[in-house]
Amino acid sequence: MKPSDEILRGQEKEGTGGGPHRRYMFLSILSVLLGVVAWQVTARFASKLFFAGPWETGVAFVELLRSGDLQPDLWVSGLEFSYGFGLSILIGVPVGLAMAISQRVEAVVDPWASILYSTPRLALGPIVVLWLGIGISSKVLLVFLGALFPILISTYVGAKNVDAQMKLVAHAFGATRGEQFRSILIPGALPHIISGFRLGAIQGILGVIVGEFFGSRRGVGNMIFAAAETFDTAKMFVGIAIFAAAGLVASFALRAIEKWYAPWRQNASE
Amino acid sequence: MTNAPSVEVDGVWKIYQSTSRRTSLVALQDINVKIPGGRFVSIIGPSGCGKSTLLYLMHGLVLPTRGSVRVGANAVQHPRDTADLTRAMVFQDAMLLPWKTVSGNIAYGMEVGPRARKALPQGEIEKRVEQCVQLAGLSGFERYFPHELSGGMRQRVNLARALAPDPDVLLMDEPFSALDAQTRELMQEELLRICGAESRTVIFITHDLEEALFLSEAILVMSSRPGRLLEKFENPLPRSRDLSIKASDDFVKLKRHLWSLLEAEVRRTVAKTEGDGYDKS
Repeated sequence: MKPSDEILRGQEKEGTGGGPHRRYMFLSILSVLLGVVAWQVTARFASKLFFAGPWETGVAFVELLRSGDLQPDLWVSGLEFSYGFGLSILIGVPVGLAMAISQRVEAVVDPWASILYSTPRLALGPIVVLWLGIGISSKVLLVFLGALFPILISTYVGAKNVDAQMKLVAHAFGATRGEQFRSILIPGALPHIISGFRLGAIQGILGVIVGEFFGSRRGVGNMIFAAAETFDTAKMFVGIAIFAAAGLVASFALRAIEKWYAPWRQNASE
Repeated sequence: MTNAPSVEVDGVWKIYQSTSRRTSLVALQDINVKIPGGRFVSIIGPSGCGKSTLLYLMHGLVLPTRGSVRVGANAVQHPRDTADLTRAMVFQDAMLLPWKTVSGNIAYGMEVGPRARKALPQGEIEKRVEQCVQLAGLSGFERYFPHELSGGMRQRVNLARALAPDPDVLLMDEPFSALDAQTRELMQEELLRICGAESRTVIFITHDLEEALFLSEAILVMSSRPGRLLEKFENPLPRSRDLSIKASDDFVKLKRHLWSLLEAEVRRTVAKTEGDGYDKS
């Protein structure tokens, strides 16, 4: 215990930036519960046409499940996300690593990464649907485009920031470039890469919604838009809740993986 | 009689060309020394005199501009290109891989490079790791991660990692200078114990005159930049020694003698760094 610990004990010791501390988990849960209560209270006073409370949403959810109406939508959206996200990992990670290793590759790819970053997917939505139709492929592309950039950049930064001293150790023991890549670069970059997955997942979910908005037959987003037209507010809320839950689960799961793999990282990602 | 190879530095110069400034920096100037196999030799000198450069040259991480370096009968090549690698290096910072445990880190040297290609029998790596854990006083900490260890413990792992492949030549770059003075004393004693038993060639860089006197059989004294070898000093102290020897009259006298050799060089270095603002330490 250093004297500075004692001084800091009076104030809150800074967290590591990897999300709320486990000790305060119950506060997070309490916060969500309070939100649900507020939600329910609002529903009592709002018009049924525009608002559905948690109970009503829950009932609608169960009904949709029982009628078998929800499952195909969940399946389609899930597929769109999985394919798109998987593709973005398959391409984003190797290209990010290549960029970190080779300055030539970096020079070639970098302008496209910037272009990708600055083009809003909302603007691309209509044309992608025009090209690829209202089937799955247009959504997959939009998910892919959304998730690619965070994954690419995180991989690149993670690889670049591997401590140069580690590479010196590899050199001193005579590691070949391949061994250096395998034993130092990949494990060193991995925490950053995983945090990139988390950001990419969130952008990917957005891609599902955008794609389904501009033309789709099925999917959870499609369900929301169709329900809006028939003023089936409860169904809309079911869809929204599903997306929210998906984002939460992805974020939580990936943060947990990141924390498990890299407990030594003091300055974790945002 | 020892099998450990000698280290021979022959007419070595190391000159760095700076492309932007169109100047050249002479880091090492005409170094000639032969270190017999199995000896523990320290290199002392003021900051920036090229001690580390010389060590890196001996390991093959850096090539000399002129002259040659041999370990045993062979010219030194980069560790990557050395089929039978019998050298190992201990750095000033532990530089452990944070995602590996203590055992994992110690095993690293045998899992990459020429040694990995030697295909040791299955349990051999584990056996050596366990031996080095014992040797370095790390028992019980095998499954700990570097961020859970103190600085002194990390340096022990650093040392164990270098010892695990059982090198004939051990190159050490100020391994204890980042430790607090008390831990440093203990580590010096440990190192003497560890290296005393085996017959390795050890080359040890330090700023600390007492450390050099305590650990080594001979001391190489270097000048300020450009680094030249001023003197090769034979340490008359008895080979088996413990920390109490630091208080003896002989020790104090020898230390004063070393300082008399170094003092002018150190003052010159301090004056230079305050002057030209070009500091390559």
